[in-house]
Amino acid sequence: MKRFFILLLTLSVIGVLYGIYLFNKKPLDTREQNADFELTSEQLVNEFSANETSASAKYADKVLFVTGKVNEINLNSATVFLESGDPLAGVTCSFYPDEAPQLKELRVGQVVKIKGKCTGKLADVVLNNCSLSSLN
Amino acid sequence: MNRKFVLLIISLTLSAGSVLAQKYFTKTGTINFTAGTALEDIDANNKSVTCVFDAATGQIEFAILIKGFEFKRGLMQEHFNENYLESDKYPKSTFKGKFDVSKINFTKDGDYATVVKGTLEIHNVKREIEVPGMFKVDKGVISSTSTFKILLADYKIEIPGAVKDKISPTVEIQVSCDYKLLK
Repeated sequence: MKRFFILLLTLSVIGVLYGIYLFNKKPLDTREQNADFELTSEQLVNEFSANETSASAKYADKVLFVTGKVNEINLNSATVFLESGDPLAGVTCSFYPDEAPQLKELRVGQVVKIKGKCTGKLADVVLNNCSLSSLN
Repeated sequence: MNRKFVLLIISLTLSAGSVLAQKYFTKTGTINFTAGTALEDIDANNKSVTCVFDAATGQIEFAILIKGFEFKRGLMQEHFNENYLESDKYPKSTFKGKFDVSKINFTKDGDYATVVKGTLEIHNVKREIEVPGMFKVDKGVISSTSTFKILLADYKIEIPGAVKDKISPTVEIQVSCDYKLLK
């Protein structure tokens, strides 16, 4: 009987600890996730321009590798804008704050590969939680 | 008749040109909100807020993606998207409004308090709101801030009984943008 209570107590402590762990778990870090798609900024913007609803269903909440030419770098907000060939729409890439120092190395016109989570499209297609994958 | 027509075209072109030259925008505005109570701290921020305003007419428009809100805790972010805001169904939130430009000199440094009236759309519900805002012109660079509160119930965001004492029925929203001239 005593053994049973000890077991019950242990299990409930584990349960509570697991609950606390789940509650405090951080959102997934895209840097540790596998990418679902790999494509160019042009392909991504074209798909959203052609059909925003179906492109959102396909890409929103997914981790992407996007390759494109740097159009602008905003160091204050740790954001990089990629060209897409369409003058009215590009890709806005909002970086993790701790990735910001790396952005100082970037130059406009450079081709880069960025990993981030797609959140949908406003004027631009938006990637959040971005990190730099490679420079060309 | 013909000359009048030409004059009309010229004046239209000129006014279109001047209006165009007075639009400002950002794609990196931020929105923070807090909806916590004494029992739980709940706050989130979105760093890719898009805003365009016309310094000549006072028309202003904001748009954000709901999935762009980041929380400190993963489950909170999940519940926010899936249960409360239903971001798959309603991916965006927008505000379209107007402020009085007559008391703001966008070419002169200073702080200009204003009031913005317009339609806020969240969770597919549109409501007319009126909120205070502040434009700041610093060395020619224009920025804006605004803090206001909304009621979750106004936007048909339902909080289940089990977490009712953890989530505040009133949410405080802070908006901040640094603008660039739209060319």
